[in-house]
Amino acid sequence: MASLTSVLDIAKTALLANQKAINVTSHNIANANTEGYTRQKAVLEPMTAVRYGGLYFGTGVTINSIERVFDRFQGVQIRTATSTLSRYETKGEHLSALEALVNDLDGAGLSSRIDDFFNSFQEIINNPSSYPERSSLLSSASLLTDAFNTIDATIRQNLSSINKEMESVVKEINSIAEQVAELNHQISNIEVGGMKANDLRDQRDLLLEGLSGMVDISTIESETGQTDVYIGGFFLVTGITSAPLELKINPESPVYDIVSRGTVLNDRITGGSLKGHLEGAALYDEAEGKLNLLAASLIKEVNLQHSQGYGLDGTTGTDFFAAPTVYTHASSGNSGGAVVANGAVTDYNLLTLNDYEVRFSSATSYTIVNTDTSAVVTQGAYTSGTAITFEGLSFTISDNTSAPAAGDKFSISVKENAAEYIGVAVTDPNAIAASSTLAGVPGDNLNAMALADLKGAALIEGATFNDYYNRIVSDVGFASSEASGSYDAQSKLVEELKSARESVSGVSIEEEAINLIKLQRAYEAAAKVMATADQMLETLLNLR
Amino acid sequence: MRVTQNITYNTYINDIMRRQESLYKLSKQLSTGKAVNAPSDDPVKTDKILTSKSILSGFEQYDRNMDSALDYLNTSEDAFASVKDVIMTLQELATTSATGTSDASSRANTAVTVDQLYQQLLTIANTNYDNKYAFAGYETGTEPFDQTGNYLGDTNSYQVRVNSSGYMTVGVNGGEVFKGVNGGVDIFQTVADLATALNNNDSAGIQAAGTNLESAFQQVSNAVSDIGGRITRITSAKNDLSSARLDVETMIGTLEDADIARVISELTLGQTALEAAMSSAGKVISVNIFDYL
Repeated sequence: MASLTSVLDIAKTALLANQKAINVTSHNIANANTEGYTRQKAVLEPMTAVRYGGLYFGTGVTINSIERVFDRFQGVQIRTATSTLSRYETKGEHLSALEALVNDLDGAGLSSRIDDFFNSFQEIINNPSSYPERSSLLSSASLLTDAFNTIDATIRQNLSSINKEMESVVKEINSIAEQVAELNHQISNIEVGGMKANDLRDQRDLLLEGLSGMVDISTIESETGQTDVYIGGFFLVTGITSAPLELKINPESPVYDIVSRGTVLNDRITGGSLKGHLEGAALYDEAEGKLNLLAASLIKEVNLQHSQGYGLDGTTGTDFFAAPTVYTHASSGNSGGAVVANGAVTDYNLLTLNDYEVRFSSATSYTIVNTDTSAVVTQGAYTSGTAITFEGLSFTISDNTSAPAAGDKFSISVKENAAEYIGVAVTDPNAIAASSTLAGVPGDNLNAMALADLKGAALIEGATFNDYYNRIVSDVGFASSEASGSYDAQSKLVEELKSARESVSGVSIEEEAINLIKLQRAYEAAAKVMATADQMLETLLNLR
Repeated sequence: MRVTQNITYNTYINDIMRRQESLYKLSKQLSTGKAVNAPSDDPVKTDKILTSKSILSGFEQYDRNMDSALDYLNTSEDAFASVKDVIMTLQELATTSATGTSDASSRANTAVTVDQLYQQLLTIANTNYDNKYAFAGYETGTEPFDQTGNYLGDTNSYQVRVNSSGYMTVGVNGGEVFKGVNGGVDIFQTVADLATALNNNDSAGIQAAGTNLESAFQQVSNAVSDIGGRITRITSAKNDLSSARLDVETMIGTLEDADIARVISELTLGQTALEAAMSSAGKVISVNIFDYL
């Protein structure tokens, strides 16, 4: 029907289509700097042609759809890369805090205090009966134990602040999960009618990108346009419901358990700031463990030697550092009603500084296993309240509400908390056992020599006290430089991926400006068509 | 590739940030003068630096130990020099009194002088140095010699650490030097014998004491040269130590000090690059399509 009115109709479709396209362009320009915005494109399509007089005539133009210009794969890549990036970022933050704690390069750390402590013994060798040298040893010993205490306290503080940070991260994850579920609901409602929920999808993608910064996720989009989100194989969002994460205190671990519907996810999380926090906590825990071993070993070796000597006042058999408290702990999984009391060291000579576990095979018998070597140390028959003594330490398990049950476990450790409790036991400088002869012969410096010689002896894992500590420092340095190197590389990758996405999905002002002019011209031309058709009609109507 | 405004802006932001970060690191090296400011700057060097600093701290202690040993040895040397003087005086007295020309009364007079010299010897043997009796073995809190010349100290000699591998005996044992406990002459007994012989007008006794005094002089001289040997050894050990210290200090310096010339030239390079990035950003960003449409 190639009539003049159909020309008017065609011009009308062109006016409307170009006006709508300008609408899309202006929406793009308006959102040029909106985070997560994906540029939209009006898809123009010719309208169905009609057959007239053996010919097909076009009927104008229509906007078929308004589409987001994006590459689905880019979004997934960016999410994965972001997870890794923020993992390294968070881990790096914890490591640089830990590094600052053990940074002895300025010469004021634990390392130099160990040196000073043993040097003080040499001053006593030079002048065994002199009071100032002796009291100077006590003050350098206090400085040493203070350094242990301070580092340990800071590590504990940082561990508890990691838990606080994890609380806020999990809160944020749960809030995003709810929002994603809500957006799933809205998107499927809109798209069920065949339309595209472009801006809502942008919003959802932005939320998922934020989420992947906190924890590594995988997503699956259903046919209805809803996105399911999984963490370590467990869903966080499925359709329009979300399964919030929970944090539970784990008595065996310094950090929370991250729980999703009853399953602990800690080992399944591999990215995001949550992983960075978990790794940071593990590093703190490891450093604290080594510091504890160093402190315990120092206590053991110095006390062992010191107790063999004699003070100026004739005292002997005294501990230089406060005697270790043997840490005992009933496993949280115990089903029996027995309790364990803190123990004491009975013989420094036999002390291994390894950790042990008392395992009950029945209510009356137990096996003690060295958990560092996995060797069975001893087996025994259990009597409530009777001290159990082995390898230089002693502690007591007793029935509380009931006897222990088969399978119950109690952990025993001398080194646990050693950096916290290490302190100087000797208060009187004259009681320092520098002499190896009875009644503390004033000029006898032989025991002080033996004590000073401990500095150069390989006493912990084949290293001297200093070397062992220096190892802790350089290990932290290695981990920290590795984390910051990985972070740098990863941040470049994320930048590149984001640029690639921006290249596809970002709004270019130049492009939009040119589009605007192009559409404006088309609009003007359509108006001209309309005016021309109108004139033609008028010509017809003026015919007489 | 489509290049949008955001790509341009972000690239400039990231680029300028990175350059500023590296400038910050360089300027930190300049202000501290150290290339390794945190363990992560260079973990391998960190371990070496810390180990070397610990070694250095040990060296400084050995140096103090040797200073304290030198003080003691010098005191001992002075004391024994006085002992030698006293013994020489006694020898002269013995020689003079041994001749037939001296009679009982002059010998009795000499005996008074000998008694005084005996007291002087006792005072020297009981030398108190830094609140300790220097020649008492480990019994530094007790006067080692009583009025009759009995040795109350023990047979020990104290040692100090002079290097990482060993101790050196510093203490001079009064029992050996004054009492000849290891098969030598009992100096106090000899002097007492001399006084007794003089009082008894016993020429043979005086002569015997004179001979013993000669051995005593030799015994003390040996002790003095022994001390001299130790002083020489410690002095040369101190010299060795100070050159070893210098080596360790140099090594620490090489490990941790920043190469200032290199840092400055890198800093200049970095500044130029930053300026270039900023001026290029300024030019590109100021291009606006609406100026042309």
